[in-house]
Amino acid sequence: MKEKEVKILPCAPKGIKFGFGELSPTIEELTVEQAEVIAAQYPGQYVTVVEKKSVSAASLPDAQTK
Amino acid sequence: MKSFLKLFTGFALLLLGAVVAQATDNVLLGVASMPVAGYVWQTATGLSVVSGESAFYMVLAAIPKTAQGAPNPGGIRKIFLIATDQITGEWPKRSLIEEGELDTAPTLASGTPSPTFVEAAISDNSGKADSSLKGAVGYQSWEHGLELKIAGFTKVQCAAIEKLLNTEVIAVCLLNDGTRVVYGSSYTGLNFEIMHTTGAKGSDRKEWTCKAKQDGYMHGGVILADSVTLPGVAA
Repeated sequence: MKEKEVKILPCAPKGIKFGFGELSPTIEELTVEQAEVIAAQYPGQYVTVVEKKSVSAASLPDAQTK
Repeated sequence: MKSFLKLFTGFALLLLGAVVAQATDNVLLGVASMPVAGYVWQTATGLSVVSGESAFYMVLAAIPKTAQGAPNPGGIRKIFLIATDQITGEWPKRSLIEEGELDTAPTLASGTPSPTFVEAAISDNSGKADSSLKGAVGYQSWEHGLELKIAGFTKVQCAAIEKLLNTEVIAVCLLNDGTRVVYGSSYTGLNFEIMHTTGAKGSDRKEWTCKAKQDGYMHGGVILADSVTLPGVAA
């Protein structure tokens, strides 16, 4: 399973808090699960959840030797 | 109406008996099908075709009190406000309230910055919200009321209060028992009347008093399901 990460959209207010029952994380502290709930309720407004891009050795530029 | 329904049900049973008798070529079966149909109907719907009851009546639900051993603190922990024009469409909507709670988040208007609820800090446990079902039979609706006091007199408060001038809001109250309740609606918002006093002497309270009252709602204060997340509404 690929790892997911939360990306805060540029238009999201800074430090905004969300009500998750007893938990009230700020937008920077959202877990992936919480971010997915918000992204589903408010698409394109606060956060998006993307798969983490993995960097393979083949994609690295060839090292230049002198 | 009730008499018409009983008459209609009676003729329907007779018709059923006739159809069964005709189809099976057995009059006895046709006759027997009528009480059987009545029993099946009563089992399925709980409504009797032979008693004095009718299908069209209001079924009440039992109203329980707070369970034994469970706390019931009054008061409001926090109040969050949002202007009604930051919400698209109707919210809360009566048709979405199921079994006493709303599990649908509001659709927020698009724009920058993104719409969010702001907190109106309550001083000295002064927050109070009311719902009243009022009116004569056939003309009843709900009235919502909200009241809170905020200590102080600062430029930040003055600037924030100015934004409430002729502004309709929806309030989400976080009660002391953790329940979140919505007052007002996007179609009929609450509008505050606000007073400030400096007090006469040092021990007097220098505070804002904010009161809002509005009627004509189709629902009382609406409990929000725990699954609903609202931006800016923090525990």
